[in-house]
This record gives sequence, C-alpha cells and structure tokens, in this order.
Amino acid sequence: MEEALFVLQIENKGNVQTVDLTESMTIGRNAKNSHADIGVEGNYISRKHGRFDPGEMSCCYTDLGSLNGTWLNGRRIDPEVPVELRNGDVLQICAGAPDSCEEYTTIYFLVPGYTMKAAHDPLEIAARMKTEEPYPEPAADLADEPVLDNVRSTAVSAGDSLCIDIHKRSVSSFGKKKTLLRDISLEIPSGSMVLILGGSGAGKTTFMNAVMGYEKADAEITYGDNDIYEDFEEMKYEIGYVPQQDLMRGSDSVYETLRNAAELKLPVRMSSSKREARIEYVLDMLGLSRETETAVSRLSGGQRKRLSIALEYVSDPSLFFLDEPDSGLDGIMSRSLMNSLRSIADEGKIILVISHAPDRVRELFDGIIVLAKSSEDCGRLAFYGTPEEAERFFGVSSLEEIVAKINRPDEGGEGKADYFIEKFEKMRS
Amino acid sequence: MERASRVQQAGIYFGKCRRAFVNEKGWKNLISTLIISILIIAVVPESMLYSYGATRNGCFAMICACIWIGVFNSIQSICRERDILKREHRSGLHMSAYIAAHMLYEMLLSFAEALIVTAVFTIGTDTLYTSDYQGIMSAVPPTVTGMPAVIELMITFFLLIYSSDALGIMISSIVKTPNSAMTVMPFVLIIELVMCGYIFELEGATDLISNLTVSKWAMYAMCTVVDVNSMDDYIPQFAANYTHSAGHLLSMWMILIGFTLLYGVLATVSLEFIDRDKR
Repeated sequence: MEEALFVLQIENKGNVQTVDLTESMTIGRNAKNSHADIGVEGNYISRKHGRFDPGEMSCCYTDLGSLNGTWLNGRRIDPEVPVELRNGDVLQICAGAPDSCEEYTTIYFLVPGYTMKAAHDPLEIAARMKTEEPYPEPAADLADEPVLDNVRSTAVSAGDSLCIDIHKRSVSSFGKKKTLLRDISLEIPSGSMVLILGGSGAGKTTFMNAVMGYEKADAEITYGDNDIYEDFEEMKYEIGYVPQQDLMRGSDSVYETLRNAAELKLPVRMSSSKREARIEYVLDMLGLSRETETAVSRLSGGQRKRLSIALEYVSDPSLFFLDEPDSGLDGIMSRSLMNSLRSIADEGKIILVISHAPDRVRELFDGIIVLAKSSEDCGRLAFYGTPEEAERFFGVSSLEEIVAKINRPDEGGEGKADYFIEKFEKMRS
Repeated sequence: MERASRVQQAGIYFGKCRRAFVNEKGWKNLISTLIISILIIAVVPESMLYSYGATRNGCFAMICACIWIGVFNSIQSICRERDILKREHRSGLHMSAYIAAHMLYEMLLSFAEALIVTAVFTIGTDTLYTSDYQGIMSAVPPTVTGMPAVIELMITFFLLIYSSDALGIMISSIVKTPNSAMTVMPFVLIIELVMCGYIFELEGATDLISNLTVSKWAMYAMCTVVDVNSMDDYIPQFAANYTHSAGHLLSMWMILIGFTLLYGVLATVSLEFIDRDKR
C-alpha cells in the first residue's frame, strides 16, 4: 500500500473527512459531472476548484481559476499560481472572504503523524491572519499525536445526535406475532454515555439491536443526516458493538487480534504507520500496552473486556453499544472500564451501556433509559433522563432500586411497570 | 470510505488459520494422518495391486481413510467460532473471503496429508511386500496421462482429502455448535461409505444418490490408476467404471474438484444467513 505523503483534513458543513495525499489530486464540488478526486459539498465550490501536487519533501496547491478562489491562512491566493504548503496550513473555500461567509470549507494540511491540538475556528484563523504578511506561520496549532486521535474518519459530524423513534419491534413464531418493543422515542446528544436499565426480558438487548439496525424494527433511527436503517452498509462502520461474551480467538495474541480488527475495519487508504499508531493509541488508552504479546486466552476477565472494546474502538466509531461490559468484573475493574468508556464518550461519541450494577459508576452516566415490561408483555419506555431525575421520578435513592420498582412481583419487584410507563408518557406530553 | 476488499480479508483470515495451525498444534493432524495410513497399509493384503478383489478392498480402505482425514480436518473449524464470526460479520466481514481463506489453508493441509498418505502407501507396498509381489512403483504401468502411477495416486488422494475437507467446511458452516458437527459427522461418513457403491450394488434411487458422494468418484479414480481392469479376476460388469485412460481419470478428478467448489459455495451461502441465528 502506498504511504501517504501528506494528509488533508477537510471540514465541511460540520463533517470531517481525512484524505491521504499519495499523488496529485483535484478538489471540487461534489456534483454529477464533476470529476474531482476529492468531492466537497457546496455550491460555492467550483467543479474543479484546485489541485494538490505532493512531492517527496513538499506539496503545492494550485487554485485552478475557481470562481470564488482559495484562501491560504486567511489570504486569497492567486489563481493558477502554485503555492507551497507547510504543516498546519489552513486553506479555506467560501463565497467571499472567510470572515464574512456563513458557509465555508476548511482544509488543514498536515504531515502524517500530526494533528491539531484543538478544533480551530476558521473565522478566528481568518481574522488572526488578516493583519499578517502573506502566507505567515501555519495557522493550526499542531501536536505530534496520531492524526486519528482527534479526527473522525467519516462523514459524520461531531455534534450529531442519535434520534430513536421505535414504533414497534415484533417477531413471529409459529404464525403468532409477539410485540417485543413499542413506542420508544428519544434523542441522545453526542458526547453522552447513557445507561440502559431494565429487568430481565424488558427488551434491553432487543432495543440495542433495533437501534443499531442489526434487527430492524418499525422505526426511524437517525444519526445526524444518516438513517441507520437505510444507510446501514455505510453506517455499520460507525457502529461499535461490544457483546456480553468475549468473542475473540483465544490463541491469538492481543496485538494480532487488534491488528486484524484494524485491517478489517479501517479504511484501506490509511497508511500502515497511521494504522500502527492507532493500534498503539487504543492499546494505551485501554490499558493493554503491556499485554500485546499475551494470548487472549491468558488475559484476565477485565483485560478481555478491554480488548473486546478495543476491537470496536480501533475503527473510531461514533456510536458505541455495550451489552453488560461489567458482568463478571469486580468493582475496581468495572470502575476502571467504565472510566475508559467515559473518556471515549468525551471524544464526542455516543455510548449506550447495559449494566446491572450501575450505582458504582453512577456519576459517569449522562442519561438513563429505563425499559420496563408492560402488562402486555412488551418492552416500553418507562423513563429517559439524567440519573438524578431518574431517582426523583422513581422515588428511589439508587439506580438499582429502579429495577425493583418496575419488575413483576414474581421477579422480586413491586410490579409498577405500567404505572411508571404511564407516568412518563404523561410527563412528556 | 473504502474498506478491506474480499481478497484483503481473505489474506487476513488466512493469516489467522496459519497462526491457529501453530498455536493450536494443527500439525497433530499430520501425525494422525501418518498413523491412519500406516494402520491401513499394515492390513491390506499383499496381493493388492495384483488381485482384483484385494485391490478394490485396499482402494476402499484407503478411500475411507482419506475421507476421514479430510472431514476431520475441518468439521469443527467454523462452528466453534460461529459467535465470533457473527460479530465479525457485523463489522463488515465478507463470508466469501472467510471461506476462501479456509479453503486455501485446508488445501495446503490436504496436500501435506496427501503427500504423507502417498508416501506411506508407496513405501509400504514397495518394502513390506514379499518377493512374490511388488509395490506401486513397479507393479502398475504408467497410464496415458504420462505421469507415473504414484503421482496420479497422490493427486487422487489429494483431491479426495480436499473434497472431504470441503465437505467438513460445509457441514461446519451449517451446524451451530461443535457438538452438532460431531453428531452429524458419523452420518456423513456412513453415507459416503455405503453409497460408494463398493460394499453393496446400488440400483435406482440409491444409485442416483451415490452420484452425490465423493467416495464413489474417488473409488473409480483410484481403481483407474491401479488399472484393476488389467487384473485376471476382474469383473467385466464394472469394467467401464475403471477404464484405464487419461480421459476417464481426468473426468473423475474434475468431478472431485467440482464437489470441492460446490461445498465451498454452499458453505458461503450458509454463513451469509448467520445473522439469523437466535440469541
């Protein structure tokens, strides 16, 4: 595979896209008749707007006489005149000057292995550069960290919400139809870690599978502009699912397992050095760096859970679903694992976790979804809100007590599922 | 964004098979092949390759051994990691790539096993026989394929082991647990051996079913290689099945290759439905 000479991080309409520059590539509007190598949304972008010409040591950008021109570090560059780019340079395309436009596309030019320390406001860059000499210092503050650490590799924007509207999820068995879930509607903002709580048979895993699009329901599930059901083939790489069991080959080492997952899930155009960097970062983040050569079968329960999470996290998905990741772990291991998940959520991802022992990590959750089995034997939404709101709503002092409230008496509960389902419905309306 | 192609995925999974061979001591299969081959060659009569009946008996015993070796190679290989596969399928694994990787790996393993079986058969018939009889190297004349009989025999063993191996892959893809696989295995072996057409004379429906067994075509191929029709006590009624010609032998080989491919395709199709497994 060809190593990327340089990397472009393109931000457009809140979406982030990374492009490896291995050869000359043109950038232009994403339109039917456009033959640009890099397609970008926006009417203000010409069909063939500019061209990147990477060499061994340097890279030039040429504006191909576009209608609205290209701005480099806040200054408009001359058409048809190649300019040499430096690590951290910021190119902008918009319908006027960057500081006066509402819509623009920003392109960060990076040397592989670098990323930005923080997200940059293109308007601020433009304003900062206005008073300086043409093509001054690079506009982005760089950090020598793997590029993917702070960059999402797909066309999903950082601030997207997950909108769930399940009308019904039913199955047929011997000609008899059974409704498993009904009327579950909620929205989860990005950066949230949400607990799914419910008694046995309340439909927690069914709910998760329906949201992931793995077992489709009569529902609309959207993430940003993407419909998870309709765009499933594309979206499946955005979804990480960590099952309850540790489904890995015991004879492979930790590193081999993770490397194969990375090879399978990461884009093929990603250079091997970046892929290695990503693997090392994930191993480090999940506390597995010292176990790289250990066979999976020799890992402790907690380490296996971490590796199971790492297998999904390596592809940097935006949506994370975990089915009882803390089962079989002691309190300390469980807390440490949930802390790792919290860190992942803090990167702007959405994490949904099923857990039966949430109280020890209560403060890590932003929200709680409570599913209860109604008298119709169907999973319904009994609550969605913050942990504090949940405790007030159910009149309990711990999250685990909620399950006791909604479970049937024969399950050791108080059998108030219907009451809380109705109460929550009324509260919402 | 473009992800790993089927070919790239097959490469990844071939690497997993290779590692499993080392880490899970897959070489033990080769040792069991050696032991089975020695046992068979120890019991076949010395008049094999000379007497029609003894030769067919010996061929049948070798075919039973090869089918066992092949099916046993792979019968648990896929079903034991079915849950893992289900997870990986969710993440974009193409089942065709997965099966292709297994087929490639099993092809190499089957080839190594065919070498062992052939070596034991050749050495066994050449050194253990008394002065009245000679082994395969000198007893059987070259056929019209132009290759020495021992090479033809090795190719036949290889194709039989490999097609049986592919049959094991198919079964392993259809059943959900190793226990189920081991329950199904004896039935498959019985069908292969009974329907081979050697033990009983088959007619009507059973004769038609026998066309679906690799054992039947392998038996024809092996008897063709050792030229049973040239033996004094041959039965003319079966002579057409063992015509000592290149065309006949090649068609038997092609049938075995066809079965191998068919089993591979059926295994892939079966695994495409893995998402329907109940929780």
